[in-house]
Amino acid sequence: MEMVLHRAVAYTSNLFSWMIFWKKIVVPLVLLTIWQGITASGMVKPFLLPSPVQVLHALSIMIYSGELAIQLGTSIVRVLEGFALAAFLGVSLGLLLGIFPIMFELMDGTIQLLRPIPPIAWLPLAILWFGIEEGSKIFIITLGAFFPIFINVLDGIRQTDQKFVELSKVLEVPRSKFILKVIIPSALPFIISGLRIGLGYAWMCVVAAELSGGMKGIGYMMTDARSLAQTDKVLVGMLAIGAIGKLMDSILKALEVKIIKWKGAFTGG
Amino acid sequence: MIENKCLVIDNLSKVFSSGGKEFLVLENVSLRVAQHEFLSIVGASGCGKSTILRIISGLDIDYKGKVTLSGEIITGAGLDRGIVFQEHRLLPWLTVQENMEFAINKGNEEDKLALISEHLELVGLTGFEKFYPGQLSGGMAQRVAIARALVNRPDILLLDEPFGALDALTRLKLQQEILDIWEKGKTTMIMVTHDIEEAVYLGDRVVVMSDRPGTIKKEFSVNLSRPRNRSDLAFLQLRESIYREFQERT
Repeated sequence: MEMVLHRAVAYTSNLFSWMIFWKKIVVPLVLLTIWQGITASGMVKPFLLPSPVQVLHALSIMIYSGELAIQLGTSIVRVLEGFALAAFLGVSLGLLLGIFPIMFELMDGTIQLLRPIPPIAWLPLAILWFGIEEGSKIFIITLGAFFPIFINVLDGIRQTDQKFVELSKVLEVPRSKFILKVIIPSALPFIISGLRIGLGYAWMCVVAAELSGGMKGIGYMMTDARSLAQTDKVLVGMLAIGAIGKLMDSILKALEVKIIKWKGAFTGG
Repeated sequence: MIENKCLVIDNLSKVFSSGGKEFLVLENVSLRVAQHEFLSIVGASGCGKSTILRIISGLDIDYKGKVTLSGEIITGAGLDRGIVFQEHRLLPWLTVQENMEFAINKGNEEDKLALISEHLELVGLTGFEKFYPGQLSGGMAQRVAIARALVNRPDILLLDEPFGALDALTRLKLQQEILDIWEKGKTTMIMVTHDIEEAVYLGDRVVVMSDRPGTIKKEFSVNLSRPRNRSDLAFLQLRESIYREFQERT
């Protein structure tokens, strides 16, 4: 009797997790089917839109030859370097301007003036200054990732609860302790969302910069494939960009849960 | 000696400005609070009773009149005054232990730890050092807030409707506990509340305030021996007369 019950429970829980999995893949499956249907019907030329099977084939060749890993690796290293620089600059400048009003008054106007310039618009200048490969790419990535990080850090500090500021005043908490124990922890969720948005921007910037010039990276691989009419390779590139971008965001998201563990307790999970 | 540590408020007036208009919040409030006295201040919400505490605590220093503690004019915050707010104001990212540490800014580690365990024991929360505020009940969190306010051994403890957000049973329990703490220590206590029963149960004196502008309407001495019985006839009569004072609005 107990056995039967156990089996029934196991069966329903299996069914349940299967259903959750199913929900996640149903939309991609439908899209793939439509895509395959359109290409199989001969309505569009394979040159304009190769079939999913063709793309899969190109993917397996590129994985096997190591081309995908090399090109993606180049882009990922660029992103990590540029992002690290942007995180350092964004967090430190954000803290500086958030904590010291004089710094804010001195620098905020200039930063806000530079912000509307799209990072890619800096490319001609960046190539002149830092060369066509690593230097200019990393400059563009850093620029793109910097603003969301900086703005979120500043915003996070501005949102510090006035009640905790009063409390610190009443307890005569020294400034350094106030910054470490009140300002930074309360801004931390904002800082992490800034980093997440920044990383997304960094990834978009590297692709844009590589598409516009240079001889390396996933973006270059796509331009090269287009000029050789290898549309399946272009699509492999696009899918790889999507997959890596999602993966990077998931890693930061997992990190966010780990770092802000008090929030789990605070909201009751 | 006793006169030395008393709090004197002389002709205190306070004006708030908002949108170009000026509101008189407090008008000619004068009070004397002796050392180790328990003073209750009751008034409707918006009568400026919390503003008095903010001025004593040094959070609000823009006022007219004179406020002195131990003969010295209050010009800002100081550790000789502790305050418990209506909300516990514990930092959610720090544990109970770390929240207590946050309030102590001098002394070596050993002294700090001794102070913290002494005050957590005082509010009956030994063993909860590692808990985060989100894991505590409202009453427990407010107990930590009381312990934190006392940890620097202030001369005066200011209580700004500290039990207002708690359920009735927890409120009764905490009233008893704050009374025990007051009897054990030498701390002067000033509590602002809108609960008349609470004011009478705890206070040596009850000050009734009128609103807009906040003035002192009447003062009652609570000449009842402790422990007080809330259903005692004298208790009920005093409660009733304070209540009637409340009702008579001008």
